[in-house]
Amino acid sequence: MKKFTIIILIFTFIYIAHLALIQTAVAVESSPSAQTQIKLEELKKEIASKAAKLKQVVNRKLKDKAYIGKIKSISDTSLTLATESSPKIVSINQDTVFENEIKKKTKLSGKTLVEDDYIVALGDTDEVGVLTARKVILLPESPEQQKTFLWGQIISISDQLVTIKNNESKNTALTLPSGSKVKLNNFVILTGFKGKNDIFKTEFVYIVPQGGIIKPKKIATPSSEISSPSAEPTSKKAN
Amino acid sequence: MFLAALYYIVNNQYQKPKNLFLNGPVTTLPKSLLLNLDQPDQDALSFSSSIIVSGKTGPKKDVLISTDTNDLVIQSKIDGSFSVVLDLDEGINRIAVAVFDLNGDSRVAERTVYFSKEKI
Repeated sequence: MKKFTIIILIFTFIYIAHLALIQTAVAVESSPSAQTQIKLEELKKEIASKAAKLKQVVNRKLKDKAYIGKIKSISDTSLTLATESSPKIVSINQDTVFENEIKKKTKLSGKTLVEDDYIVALGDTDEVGVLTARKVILLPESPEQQKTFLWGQIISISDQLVTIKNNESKNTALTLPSGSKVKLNNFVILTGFKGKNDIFKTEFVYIVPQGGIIKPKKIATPSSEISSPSAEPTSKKAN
Repeated sequence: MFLAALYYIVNNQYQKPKNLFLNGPVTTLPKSLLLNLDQPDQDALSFSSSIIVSGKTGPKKDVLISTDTNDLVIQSKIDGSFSVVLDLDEGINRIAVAVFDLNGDSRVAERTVYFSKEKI
């Protein structure tokens, strides 16, 4: 009986030890996969969060847009506009509101618009850039003269005109707004319009506090184009 | 087994070198003048009378922001970023952003924004 009890105890111990070993082995095997699973889940969450943010940005970029340009072609449901950047398609429907900014009292509709009308279409765009217009406004012609800017150093000041030299050593005569306090050799940034006789009509003056550098233009002189005998390599001379 | 192999590859096979960037970033400043205009978007429709004009250029550069009725010059920060709130006129606003360096070289970015007082 005692022997039997000992054998039973030994078998029980072996069985428990075996079970413990199997469990450890399973735990060892499952540990990496569990961690990978957690990492995959984290990765999934991160991707989902980034995708949601990207979607928000894309939606923001597609929402509330304004296409400005001349009508190039027109149909019952769409307009093609020639804008400053590229041709744009505008879709119009029964909900589109039309407004005439030239003659406010004159009623406007899709049918009264004609080619070369200068308009702005307001609405949302789709993924391919077609704008569904909530509102179309007929505008007066855009001004032909575009505002531009200049950078340069003041090289002369007279009663009426100032001359600046730009970084390509090109001189430009200009008029300044009254009260401008510029001095000779100042470096300036100017905005304005090109006027008559190429005289720039300045609207805004900014004196660059740190100054500037105008590199002298490199002009090839005849003497530098043809090498003189003395410019030949010494080794050649020795021969 | 597959997952265990994947785990091994991810964690042991492709370990990142620990001494990465010890000597600072490996990038160098671009030699040519750059201008990235982040805001506003082209063809934006605004129902607010002001918008943010922001972007990135070289450090401490003069940045001109010009519309038909408004001009201002700001200086970019040491990291090259710049940002300013710009008042809009009702209707079409052509915004030109230009950046200059000491040699007078410049880069320009332009945006057209329409400001509508009436929310549609």
